[in-house]
This record gives sequence, C-alpha cells and structure tokens, in this order.
Amino acid sequence: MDAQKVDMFIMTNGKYFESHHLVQIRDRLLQLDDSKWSVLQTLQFKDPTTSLIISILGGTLGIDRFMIGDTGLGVGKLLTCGGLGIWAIIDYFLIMGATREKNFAKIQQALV
Amino acid sequence: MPLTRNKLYAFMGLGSVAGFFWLVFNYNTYRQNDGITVCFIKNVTGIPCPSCGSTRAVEALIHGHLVESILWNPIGLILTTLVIVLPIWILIDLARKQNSLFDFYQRAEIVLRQRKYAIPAITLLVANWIWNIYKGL
Repeated sequence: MDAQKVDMFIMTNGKYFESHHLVQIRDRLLQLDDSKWSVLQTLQFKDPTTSLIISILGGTLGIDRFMIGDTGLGVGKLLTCGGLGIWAIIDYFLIMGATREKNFAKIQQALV
Repeated sequence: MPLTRNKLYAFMGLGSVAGFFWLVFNYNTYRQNDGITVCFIKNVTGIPCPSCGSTRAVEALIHGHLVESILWNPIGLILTTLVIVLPIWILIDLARKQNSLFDFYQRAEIVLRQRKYAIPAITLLVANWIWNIYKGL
C-alpha cells in the first residue's frame, strides 16, 4: 500500500491503538495489497475516552467491560458490585488500554 | 495484552481467595444492616445496586438458612457456586495441564452475547434489581 495512504490512516486512527502497536500496524499496512484499503476504511474502532467515561459512570455494573466485548469479565463485575468497588477503580486505569488492545485485535482480524 | 489461560486462572483464583477473605471478615455481622458498605452506587445514590445483599445471602447460606439467603439476594447462590467450583476446576486443569475452564469461559462468552440468552438474563437482573430497591437493602 502507498506510504502516504498508510500514514494518513495512522494519523487519523492513531489514538485507537497503543503506541507500541503503531509501528507494527504501519509495517503490516505497507505490505498489504491496495484492495484491502476499502476494508480498512470501513472498520469501526472503539474510542478509549468513551470507555473511560462509561467506566467512571457505569463501572460498578460492568458496563465498560460489556461494551468493549469482555462479556465474561463484565458478568463478573456485575455480580460482585464491581469487585467490591476495588476492581471498578482499578478498571478506571486499565480500561483505556484494554480498549486499545481490542481495537488492535480487530484490525489484525480484518487484515488477515 | 489479550486474555490468556494463565492470566484468567490467576485472576479467577485471586478473586475466589479475596471472596473467602471477605466472607470471613463479614462472618458475624451479616444481619446488621448498618454495617459498612463498599457499594459505590449505594454510597453515592442511596439506592442498592443489583448485587447488593449478596454478601448477606452467602453468609446466610453458610449459617444454614437457605430461604433467608434467597430472600436477601438470589445472586448469592450464583456467587457461592462460582467461588466453590472455580478454584477446584482451576486446580484440576493445572494438575492435568488442560485448559477446559478457559475453553468453557470463551464458549460461555459467545453464548451470552446471543440475544436469546442475553435478553432473558438482563430482564431477570433488572427484576432482581427492582426487588432489591423494593426491599430497601
């Protein structure tokens, strides 16, 4: 793929990924065929900031975990009242990273 | 980092151990409604959350009062099952070097995401929540 196109993608979507993943994503995209560009454009990523807001508002009910797709952990959080409140607080700090990991998994899946 | 088998087992094991400590800590005070509460929702809004009362439910079960336990909160029964089954399952898996619990967890996640299972589960949970508020836990 065109280096210009790839850099444009990285610039617009960089905030959805961990910084150490960006190099890997860039290399992978550069090797890709141009026909994958339309698939790449239609991918929807979850915003880490949104999940942080949801974690603060609905973290005790596990809504943040349900949103990013960790259904099992969400159920665990819901049934234990956010892990007695402790897990909910820990997740304020983990949820943005977890969202970025999910986005990375998604782009990997789409580009196979 | 994606969720791996060992990470999930460590997390579940630690959760169960923490649960047992919490039960020991609350062993004698479970019938006192004015005890300390760690529930964020109840502390902020004064309204109980869906799982409020499950400590009291599990403690009632330990003291041998099954009906009282269900009346406190039916979620207590689910948690009791989990806290007994999970550590045993993890130990068996570790001893046999299998990952049957991890596979089961991933299959359960997929099942729970289907609408025909998710909607009844959410309905039950909301009904339980309304009951909790009505009981004034």
